[in-house]
Amino acid sequence: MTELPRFLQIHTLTPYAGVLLNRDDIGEAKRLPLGGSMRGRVSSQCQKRHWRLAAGEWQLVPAAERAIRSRRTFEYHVARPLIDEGLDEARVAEAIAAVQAEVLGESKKAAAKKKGEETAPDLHTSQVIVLGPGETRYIVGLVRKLVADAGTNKDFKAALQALLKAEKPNFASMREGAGLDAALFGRMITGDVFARADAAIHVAHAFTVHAIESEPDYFTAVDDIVADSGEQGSGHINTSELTSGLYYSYVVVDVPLLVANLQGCAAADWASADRTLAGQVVERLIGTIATVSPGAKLGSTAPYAFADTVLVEAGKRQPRSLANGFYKAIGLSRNDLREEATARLLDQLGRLDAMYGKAEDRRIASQIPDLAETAPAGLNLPALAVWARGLVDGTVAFAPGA
Amino acid sequence: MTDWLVLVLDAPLMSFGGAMIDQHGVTRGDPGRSLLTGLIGNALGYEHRDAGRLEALQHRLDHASLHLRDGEALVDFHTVDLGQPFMRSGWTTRGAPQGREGGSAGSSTHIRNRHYLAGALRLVVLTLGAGEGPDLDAVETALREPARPLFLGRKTCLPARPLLAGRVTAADAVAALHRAHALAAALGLADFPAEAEGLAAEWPDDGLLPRNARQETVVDQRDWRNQFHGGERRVVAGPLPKRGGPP
Repeated sequence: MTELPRFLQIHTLTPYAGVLLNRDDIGEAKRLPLGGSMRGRVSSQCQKRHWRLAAGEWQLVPAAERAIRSRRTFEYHVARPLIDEGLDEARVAEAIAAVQAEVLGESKKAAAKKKGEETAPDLHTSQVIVLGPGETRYIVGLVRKLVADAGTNKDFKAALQALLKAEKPNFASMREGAGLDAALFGRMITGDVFARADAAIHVAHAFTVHAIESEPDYFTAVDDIVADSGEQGSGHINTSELTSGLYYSYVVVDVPLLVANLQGCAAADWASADRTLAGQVVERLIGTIATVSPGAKLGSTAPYAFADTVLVEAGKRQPRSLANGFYKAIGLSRNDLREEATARLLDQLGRLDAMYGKAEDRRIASQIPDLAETAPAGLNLPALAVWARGLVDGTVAFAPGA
Repeated sequence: MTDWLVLVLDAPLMSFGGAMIDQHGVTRGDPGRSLLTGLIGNALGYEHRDAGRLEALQHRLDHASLHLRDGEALVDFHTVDLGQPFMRSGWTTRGAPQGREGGSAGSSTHIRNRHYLAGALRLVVLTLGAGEGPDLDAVETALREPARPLFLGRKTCLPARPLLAGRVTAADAVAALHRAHALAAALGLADFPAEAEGLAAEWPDDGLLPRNARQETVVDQRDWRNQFHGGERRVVAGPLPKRGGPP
């Protein structure tokens, strides 16, 4: 079998002018003191929220998916292990069919409806149902105990009904939390660590590669009716902060965990699991990161920008950001700030390679021409995203250190 | 003499979790034992349910830290919309969902203030005592090619360089910090003071209290089975003394 990368690292540089991307409790832009100068900052959480909710070309929830794959999860990761343990196949199948219907929210009413008209989409299953390793491990445990304990057929059926009744609210909560969201960004609603979904992507706070450029924006809201009557003055006077900045953003994808969270398998079994959906998610994630703005004040500042540069690295070594390339702020007097930022990114990559050796496979998409010698092969954004998808699903050969 | 692994903790933002007070998730100045246990556990691929292995690892761990750059305090204003459907309740392995009932906790915005260190740089030396589980070689290998991405306190605190800087041999933690500093300087890691002596440091209380240093009690061990912090540990914090330095 070919080697697979465990980690994808996604670095982007994105310029914004005259925006307020992420505010603190007093309405000012979030900041980060670094290397002797104050930078603009966009929190990890802010970026993730906008990526999750973004609709459009790269949106994360692929419409074609839905519950189909969840049925496969039940077959591969719940039924098969139990049958392999030597439990009664017919009872396992019956119990799992019933539990599956309950977890996926296929009520008897909905099943009856299916015969006639087209089924209306169930509100609670409008997102992809994704059962992670925590969910499958729990269901395997329930069904194992049920099938092993029950004596006669009658006892078994009664025990199954009792189980479904007792677990109904729990299964409903499981379904509610079982979105692509949880697989990517994690879920920690309760104190139960065994039911927790760990995030498969790690997102650093984005920060400007130069000292923050800020302007207090004095604004008035004129009341037209009052103004028409000859009254001077305005209905509302206030000040908000607008900033401009070129942001460095860094994301790591934990590929084994992403596969496990999407397929319901153990993370250790990721390499032999179906990685098709994980590949699609990675492709969309890269497109989303490069094109979706984390901005607020959409109507008044139109904070929409695409990344200048997107660098993707695939590897097995400990992921590390290129943030130190911007530890010392780039001087604001430079009129080639965008070029300089990409050059610094690649320079930092070169420094790390020189000290630790090169062990990643890399591609870059960039609007900046004349990249430094260290630049990995250039692609456009869709091709870059497809390359990363191929590394995850195994259709593209992984060449570490190449 | 003991072998110590040298780790460089370098990230624009780091957080060395202290005791959470109301909505304030504060940070200490130095990484605690639970953070390093979790870090190594992540590198080795341990899971939440491997509580026994994490406990054992934490019990065997010994460490000390040195401030190459102090960094600045940063408080991130953090809100969570509890009204989202998936936030209402969560399934549990106890067989019944756990919800948020009462008051505004079910639908309102939850406010947290998350404290970080910005622009800090720490050097850590760590070693493992006798016992079941991985040896220092296994930890070294795992840190180089970890099972999962590693982070410094929170998942948003992603390291800006490989954490592992190398290995030193020293009789005690203070001597190990001196040697680790010399190693970091030889590697040309970053700009930091050329003398280790006098830099802020924290090391296990060995009964010797140098001038200007203070004894402290830290609660930095996690009960991995029950998911809370407990267990006091005595440390000495202060300027790194010359004692035990290289000859």
